[in-house]
Amino acid sequence: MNLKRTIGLILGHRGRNPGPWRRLLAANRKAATGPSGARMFREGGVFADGFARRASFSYQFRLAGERFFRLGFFPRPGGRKFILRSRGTQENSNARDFCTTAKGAGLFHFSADPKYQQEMKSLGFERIDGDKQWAMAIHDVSLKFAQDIKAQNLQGLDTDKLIAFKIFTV
Amino acid sequence: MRATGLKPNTDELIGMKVQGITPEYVRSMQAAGFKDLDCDELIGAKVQGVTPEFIEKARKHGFQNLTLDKLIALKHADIL
Repeated sequence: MNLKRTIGLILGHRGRNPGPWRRLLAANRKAATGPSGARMFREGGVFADGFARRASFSYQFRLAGERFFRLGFFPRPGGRKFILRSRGTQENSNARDFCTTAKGAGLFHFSADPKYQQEMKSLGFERIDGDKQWAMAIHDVSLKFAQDIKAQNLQGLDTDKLIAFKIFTV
Repeated sequence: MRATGLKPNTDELIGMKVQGITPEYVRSMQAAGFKDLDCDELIGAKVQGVTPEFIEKARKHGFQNLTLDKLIALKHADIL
């Protein structure tokens, strides 16, 4: 690899078609200064990445073809690593879109909603600790979903079964 | 699923969903003469590839008094 190509890769190409690093940095800058950063709202709580706080985020993703890029920040205590599923392309310039539509593994912080536990308890689903609530939020087990399944009077219904029903789209 | 006469519990529901057992499959098996299959038997039949078409094919070859076990054995023998 010659010097010109190396510099080009680092800085990105100027003009109409900016290089991957330039696009990446632009997306990060936009997200870091935006009002919300990358967040995923669920009834069980909110998953927020480090973009909102300009820290604690590591990501591996690809911008084009099979070229993978990795960005790393200091991990934030209490974060959890998980994979975001792909729903589209990575061509979004907004990191919020990126995080909801592209592939990647990031360190996210989950803020549990205390109301969720109480309302689930009122439906008969008890012993929901932090890990369970996190799992239920990941799989989007909503109160309405729990109510609907509960109304079917199924034998052996518990929170694990609710999660399984969501996973297998029963 | 309950409209087909089955009363699956949560584990059976998950198992049936995973194996792709639909109310239509249950009804078609019932229409093929297998009216008393429970959830586990239906899952077994589906997993082994026993379909109403296979049952019909077996009957056309002269096999009578077919049970689910016999159908599965026929399927394994791969002679139809």
